[in-house]
Amino acid sequence: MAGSLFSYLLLSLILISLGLVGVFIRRNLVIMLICIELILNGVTLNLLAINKFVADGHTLGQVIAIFIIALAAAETTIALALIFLTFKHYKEIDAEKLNELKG
Amino acid sequence: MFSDIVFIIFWLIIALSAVLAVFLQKPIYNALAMACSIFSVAGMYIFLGYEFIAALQVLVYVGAISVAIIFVIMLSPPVTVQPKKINIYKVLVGVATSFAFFIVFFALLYAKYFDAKFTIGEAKGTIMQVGYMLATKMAVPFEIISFILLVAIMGAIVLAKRED
Repeated sequence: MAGSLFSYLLLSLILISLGLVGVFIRRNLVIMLICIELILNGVTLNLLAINKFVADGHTLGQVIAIFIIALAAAETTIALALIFLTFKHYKEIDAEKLNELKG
Repeated sequence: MFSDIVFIIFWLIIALSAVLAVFLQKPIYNALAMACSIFSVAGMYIFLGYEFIAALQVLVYVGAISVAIIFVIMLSPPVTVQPKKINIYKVLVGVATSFAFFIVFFALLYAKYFDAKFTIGEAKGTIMQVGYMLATKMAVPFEIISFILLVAIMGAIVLAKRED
């Protein structure tokens, strides 16, 4: 069980699918960002589980996982700053109502 | 055998708290459920034998990103939770699309990877090799990533401090 690749890949698929559902049906910007984090975690888990089998010495996958984590941090920083600006400017974060540009 | 039990517990915690992170109604609960899920994903990395990535996951995701999200939720003015009308058509389309995605990739995984096994906990790529690769072969991407982080920090400060 703990050594079978299928369980890791199934878990990462569940994380990615749940993140997709959240991005599609939730309209709160913060919750959409949380769902994007779930997707990124699923991708990293998938990459590292596959890395057990293909990479020589298991090193390259870890390096790329470090890059993914750093990029996720950068993305979250910018997205949170934008969400905070949206809060201050429009007083709401419903994605359905933020439908005009140049505000 | 014992590791299997721990593995199943971690697996269920990740899946259930991911469900909670998507479907709960108040953003602070979603953020906490996401932190729980991500923390348990670090446990999965321990099972795979990548302790360094697990530590990094806890430090960066749970320690920085979750806290930043919770900060933004707490700093923002209270949004009145209006009884919202749910557009049932959009919800159905979103759920159907994600379910189709799940089914297609589940069939693929079941066909290709159902029997693949590895020994848990063996770590061939140690932290020394990872650092060596970051300093030699991956030096240029590493510098680019650090530059991106710097730009992201400055951009976040510039965006959030702007008076309008």
